[in-house]
Amino acid sequence: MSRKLWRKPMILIGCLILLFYMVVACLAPALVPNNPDEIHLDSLFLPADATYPLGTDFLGRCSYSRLIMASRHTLGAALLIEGIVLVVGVTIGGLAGYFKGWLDKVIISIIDILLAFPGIILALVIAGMLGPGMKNLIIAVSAVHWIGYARIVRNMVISVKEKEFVTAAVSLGSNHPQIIFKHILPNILPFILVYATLNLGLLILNIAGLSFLGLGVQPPTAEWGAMLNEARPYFRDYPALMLLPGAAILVIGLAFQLIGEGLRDILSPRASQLGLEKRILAELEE
Amino acid sequence: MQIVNYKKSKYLSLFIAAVLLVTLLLSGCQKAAINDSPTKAIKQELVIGEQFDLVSYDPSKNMSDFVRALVFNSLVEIDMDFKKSPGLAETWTMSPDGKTWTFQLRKNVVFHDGTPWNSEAAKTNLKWLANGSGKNTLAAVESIETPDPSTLIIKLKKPVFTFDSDLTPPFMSMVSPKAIDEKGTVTAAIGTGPFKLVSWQKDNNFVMERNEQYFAGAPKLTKLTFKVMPDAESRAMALEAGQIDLMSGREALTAVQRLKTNPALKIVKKMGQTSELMFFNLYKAPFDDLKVRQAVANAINLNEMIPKLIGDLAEPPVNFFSTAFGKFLNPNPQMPKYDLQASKALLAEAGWKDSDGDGILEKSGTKLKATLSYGSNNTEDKLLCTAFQGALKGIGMEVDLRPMDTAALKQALEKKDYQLIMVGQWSVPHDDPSMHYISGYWHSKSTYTIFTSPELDSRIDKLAASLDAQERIKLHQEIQAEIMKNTPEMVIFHRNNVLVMKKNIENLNPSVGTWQIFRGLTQAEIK
Repeated sequence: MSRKLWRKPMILIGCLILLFYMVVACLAPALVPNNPDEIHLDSLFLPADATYPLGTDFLGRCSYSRLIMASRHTLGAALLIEGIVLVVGVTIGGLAGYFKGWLDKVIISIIDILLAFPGIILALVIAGMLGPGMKNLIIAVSAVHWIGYARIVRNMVISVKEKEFVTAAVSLGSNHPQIIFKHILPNILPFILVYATLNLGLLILNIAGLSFLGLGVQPPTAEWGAMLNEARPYFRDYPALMLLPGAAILVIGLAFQLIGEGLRDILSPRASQLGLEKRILAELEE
Repeated sequence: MQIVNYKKSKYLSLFIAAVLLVTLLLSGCQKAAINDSPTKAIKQELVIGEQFDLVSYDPSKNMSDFVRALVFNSLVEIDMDFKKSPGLAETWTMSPDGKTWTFQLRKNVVFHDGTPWNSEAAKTNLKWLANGSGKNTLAAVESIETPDPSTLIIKLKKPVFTFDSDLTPPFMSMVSPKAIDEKGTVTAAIGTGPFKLVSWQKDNNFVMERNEQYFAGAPKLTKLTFKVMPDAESRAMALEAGQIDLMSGREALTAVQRLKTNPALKIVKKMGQTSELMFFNLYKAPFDDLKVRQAVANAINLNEMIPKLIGDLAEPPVNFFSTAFGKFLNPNPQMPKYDLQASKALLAEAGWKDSDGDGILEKSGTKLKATLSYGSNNTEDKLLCTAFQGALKGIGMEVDLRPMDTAALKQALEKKDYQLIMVGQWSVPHDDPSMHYISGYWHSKSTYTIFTSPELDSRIDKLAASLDAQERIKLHQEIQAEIMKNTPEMVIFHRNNVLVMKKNIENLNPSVGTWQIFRGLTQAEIK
């Protein structure tokens, strides 16, 4: 399996990009030549030079330093939200799929209701109600993204639970936790992983999108989406101010897409082996 | 099979993405092909890119403020330089008790539909306004008499010494009595102004033609086409491409800076009547302390920030109000000076020190923190607030920015739900700024009660009741000095009215009154 993994150039490229971003985010404070938030009114819109590797923005702040520091906020928020929705979504979806009955009915109706709204709109409404700020942005995006996990996990658990090896485990006297953690979870985990990777790219887009609309981090904190928004009025004159954070978002989104799709290609045969229905794979694509 | 399809579609989407990218890049390179047309007889026609649609025909309600003065006149008007001037009334007198106002109306004036302008038409309008938008302004009116067609006598229940100025706002426009139906609805925009509205396509354009019979002389321009373009950047691009001839610089921060350098265009600007203000909340810590307020005022270098960040759209603060209010202003205003040392010293005196070395000051365990609320769709304020945040960090104050939409900002201001708040000054179209104190910000019965004191109240009350012009001016100056001494606000900038136009347009000046920015079109011509 692991050898197969590295033979896929898509995954390899994706992982390299991701690794690069992670290293940059971790080492950000050491990589920035200037204080990213410091305003210099006497050096607005400077071109790139030795002091400012990518020039300065509309408040004379170092564009390079801001771009680098922003990686922490965007990636940090994305990983945090991913963690939250993974736990919440898998737990709720797993419970619904495993125990079925009225619990499943209640959960699936809630999911269906929430799915009736386009995700970003729902996040927008929640973020709008809570007001701007990073904390509220995390709440808003998490509140939308657990739904996808819950639905997929529920469907997968239902399929896997009907397999012979689960029946065998039940007849051998395994209790619920044993069945869940030993037999069901390990089988669906790779698929959750694929979904999580694809979802991370989407999360970054959502975070940047909400920040772009002014609902995310507040100035002076640098964040790619917020940087895009701030630089919007200057696009005609200083396009680099918008293109750089835009490119940063594009490339990391691409990286997650490459990894996610590569993993899915590898997992496809396994999915049919497990008898997972095609529609689950189709759902991963969404 | 599915997988094969999927791979194909992947290449297809990559291809489409590449095509889109190339299109995007190319569209950026494209320059306007149609520029100056070959020399013909110069048509006196202008195409104007305007942010706001007409909205309705009713100048007393929601018709766009910016074009009312082209179609309508009021009894008394504010001219291009913000001086009270005759409108449809030629002269007027106030009785010594301030309760009877006699207006001599302009003769031989007709509305665009041919209806004559006379005292009956004025009475119809005032009665209509008294039941509508002019309810507050005309509340004191007891009776309206029309002894002859060109004389209008208005009797008031109580003295109103600024009654003539009260008649100047754009919503007090005189409409042809035939254009007002029984329900009080205005069915067509028919006034006496220099231009007639000839067509209106909602959200698209509205067209005006000159009024040959305009009492102050017909304009040179024969036709004005206003194209509705809400986005400043689209207006700027249309101007660069030659699709429009003129635009207002309103809410076009970056566009104006770029257009200024375009050799085919020119800009004209004039300080308007409104200012941008930052209020302190005096009812809550830490700004209940005068020293902290003064420290903030001393820490922000507006004389550097405004020209660098806002450019031509504003001027650094010079007085309590914009210079439009000339004679009412204190000739020697005590404006806060940028002085970091003084600012830090004031905070130290107030008991704030950095005891834990994190760069943020503390006082008895509380950090020096504040929130700064501003309008999220106001590009200038957003930029300045970020700059203020940086400047205040320099004196050890941590500022959290609170962007809000217009309604939320107004509500925050009303409910005092702010620590620092940046707002545009209420722009009363009135040559006397008394209303700002009385019902605006500075009287204990005003809407926002930013700062009040018994002494200030008594001076404002005295001003409201005073008839003597000299005394009024003195009171104005005392009130301003008293307010400024207590630093409840910072004047951030005075807003300029800016017009950007093609070089061949002559004699077009912006007016001081923001709402009548296009009024200069009456004199303009194309050379």
